[in-house]
Amino acid sequence: MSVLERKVFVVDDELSVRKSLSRLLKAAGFHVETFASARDFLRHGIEQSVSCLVLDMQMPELNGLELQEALSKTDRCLPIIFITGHGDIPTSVRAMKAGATDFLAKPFDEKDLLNAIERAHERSREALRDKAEADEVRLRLATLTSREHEVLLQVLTGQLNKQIAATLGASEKTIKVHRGRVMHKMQVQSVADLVRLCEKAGIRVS
Amino acid sequence: MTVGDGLGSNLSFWQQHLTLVVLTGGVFLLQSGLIVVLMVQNRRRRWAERESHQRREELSHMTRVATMGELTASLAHEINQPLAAILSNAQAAQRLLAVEDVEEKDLGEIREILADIAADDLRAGEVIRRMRTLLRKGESYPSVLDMNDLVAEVLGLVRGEMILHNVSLSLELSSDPLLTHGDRIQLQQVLLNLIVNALDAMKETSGRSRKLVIRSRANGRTSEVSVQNSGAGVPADKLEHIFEPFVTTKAHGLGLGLSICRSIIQAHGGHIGCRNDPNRGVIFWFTLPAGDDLK
Repeated sequence: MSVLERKVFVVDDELSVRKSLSRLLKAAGFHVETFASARDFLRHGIEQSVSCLVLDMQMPELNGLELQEALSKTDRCLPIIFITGHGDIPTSVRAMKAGATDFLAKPFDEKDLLNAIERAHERSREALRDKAEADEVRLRLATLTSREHEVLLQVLTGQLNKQIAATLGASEKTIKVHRGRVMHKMQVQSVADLVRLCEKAGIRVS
Repeated sequence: MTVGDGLGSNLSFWQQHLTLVVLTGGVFLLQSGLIVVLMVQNRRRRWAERESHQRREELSHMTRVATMGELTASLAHEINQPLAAILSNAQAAQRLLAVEDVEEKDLGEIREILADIAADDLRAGEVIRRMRTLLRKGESYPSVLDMNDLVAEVLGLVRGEMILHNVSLSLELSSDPLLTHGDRIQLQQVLLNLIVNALDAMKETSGRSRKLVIRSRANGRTSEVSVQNSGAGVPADKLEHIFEPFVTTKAHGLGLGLSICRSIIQAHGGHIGCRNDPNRGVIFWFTLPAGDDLK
């Protein structure tokens, strides 16, 4: 795995914690970037790579939970590992409910941190894979004509050619041709595959 | 010559001066009695004074302990922070040393790590030392103090509390040392009490506008320190009596903190007071005789 694929962002207002974590994670083979505040991190922007965020819960101005909320509004999936000097239960519950992968109380052992990062990177990798797949499906969908798109939506509801023909006011034979083109352009063999693919792109049919 | 005269000359000294002797003796006895009574009273008063002084000490110690109890989360934060840095630094160094030939660059890094570990360790130790000083019970030792140092020491204990409650701090301290003569622990207690009260007063304030301002300045022959919160303020009828015992604006307060602050400041020859800020919040201030007046 390349260094770029093992990226860890650290956000903590305390210089000594930032420095020590940066040293430890670099020694463990990660690419580390540190930020002194949530605002600095948001300004920096996040590129698409396997990465995770080690985030201090209590910081002046924007705290960890608020940064988590701000990040959840972007389309970027960045797994968060919270670290805290207080470790009180209500905040940790809130953080986990909002999708944090782990919650570590300071001081924590490197083993716990590295395990947490491993899990977070796994989650990030999955998210990136899903996103890449979704992008690919969207590219294929973009090649469909508007008529083919209409047919696709009907096929997804599980209708037969005859029913689709009636709904769209076309002959069954034409629908069959359209359907064939849809299957070809979407690069699938069965309706089941088509449904699965379209779900990845966020097209859901009730 | 009268009969009386004849008789008189025959009377003995005792018969002649009996009344005077009895009277003198009586006065003498009374005086001694009075002296004994006064001495006993004096001793009792001194004993009572010592007793009341001791009670006051105990009470102020108790409120110190209670205040520190409220700060446990903050204190844990202040100690866990350096502990976390120490552990990560130590484990980073172990990793750097795990290879066969340690590069010169890594050795330099390890030297820096060790220096940081030492600094963080001292920092954690300092928090514990300050905490123990305040929790200690016992005799007070007056000395010459810089009020600005005292502010910094107390802030070291409540910093975590401020971060936890999203309170921003603004310090407007005199650039010159603000010397006074007093008991370090007691004056720290006053500051701690005023700051913790200010933080409490802002619990209902919405997140962004929680602001604590601490000011210090030399004002003629006195040193003045003030603590301002941005809370809702105190009703005027409460404000008048706020330093009296058992007067409190908190739901769970005993109302002893400020009355102890007042007795400490008064015992130091200073004044304490408070006023609502027309813009926002309450300002608590106290003055102490300035360093120039010290012998």
